Amino acid sequence: MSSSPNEGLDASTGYDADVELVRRATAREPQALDELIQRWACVPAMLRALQRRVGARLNADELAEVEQCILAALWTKLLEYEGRAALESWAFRFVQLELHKALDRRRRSRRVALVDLERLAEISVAVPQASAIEPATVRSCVDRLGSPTSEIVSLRHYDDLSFEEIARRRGEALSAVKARYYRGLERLRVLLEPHLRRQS
Amino acid sequence: MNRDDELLASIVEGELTEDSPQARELFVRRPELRERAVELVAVRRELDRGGELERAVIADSRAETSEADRARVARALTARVASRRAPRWARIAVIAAGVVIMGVAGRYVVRRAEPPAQVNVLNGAVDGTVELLSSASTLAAGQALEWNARPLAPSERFKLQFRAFEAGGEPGKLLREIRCASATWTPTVADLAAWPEQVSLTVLRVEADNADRELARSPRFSLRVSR
Repeated sequence: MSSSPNEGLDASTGYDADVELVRRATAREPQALDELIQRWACVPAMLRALQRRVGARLNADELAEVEQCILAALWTKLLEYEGRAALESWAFRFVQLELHKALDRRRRSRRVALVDLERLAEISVAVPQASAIEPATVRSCVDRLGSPTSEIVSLRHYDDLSFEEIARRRGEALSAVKARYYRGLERLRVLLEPHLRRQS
Repeated sequence: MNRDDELLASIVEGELTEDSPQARELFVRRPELRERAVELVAVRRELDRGGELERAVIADSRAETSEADRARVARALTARVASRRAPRWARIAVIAAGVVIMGVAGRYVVRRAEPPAQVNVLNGAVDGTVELLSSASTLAAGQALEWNARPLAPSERFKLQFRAFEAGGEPGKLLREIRCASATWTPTVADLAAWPEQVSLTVLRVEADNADRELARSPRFSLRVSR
């Protein structure tokens, strides 16, 4: 298992090596499946780390259930993987989404449970960061930008690459990459406008 | 990107502060860009925050992955690989069969929703044929002739047509026509006196208020006249 955050990132247009791995895994090549398992072995730990960072406290049963949902969704959606992000980053979105759904379910059930004063002390409610948009919402808006803008925005923020590195990897002029990036930012401003307005 | 766009990009990226001479000059010249810059900076911060969270969580998870995690992921994925999807042709066949079943069911439902056919009430699929209940198909004075049919609506009547029996199956001479509101009629001696030994009977359902408009017609029954 590599520790590089950009594992699978090629010098060409994106994560071609990961796309190829997925192609072989979906063709049920044993070696590719082993490799995929190695790459996604971090998914359960990813779930634990994310819930810790967002201040949620799911119990062991809830965590196990969410974990199974994530792994099922990953396999089911594998054919939709287009190589716009590393396999781990792609999996992270599923982790984010399923955790969000689980917390939402819990919040709904807690509305009723809050009248149970004896259990009130056990209940931990995640306090959202003040004036922050849900990261999953931002990510899904980035995906909606379409190719190649979403790749450029992703490489810049989620892979933490400089414009020069992005231009070099994509074989494009720096000015073209920047122009696309800012057009993408403008579109994101429109997509996120309701959330930004709520913030202000 | 033109010069103003480049300046705006530099502000968004944090390369230029908002109170730098270039930024101030830009906002004086194009005040609408100030609000846009504020919003773009907010978007960039959200992207940075999302990216930082993702990288941190992935880094943490790599450090924390245990053998138990690996084993669970392996079990979950290999179980899914083992449950192979049906071949494409089988999935198409299942879909096609579903479409056919839905089509047939849809036609059935539509057919059920249609009003009953008006000319086939007695002799068609809805009520079946009129069945004579009298024994031995014999017509005798004082003995009730009964038949079985769906009860009449208030505006309906039965109409009985007695004809001379013709061997070839052709309708013979009309002997008598009777209208009644129930599924029974009892002949008298006088009724039968002038009739031949064998007659045919047809039971019709008619609309009484509409010039005897025929709603349904039974098959022709052959009856022996007993005197």
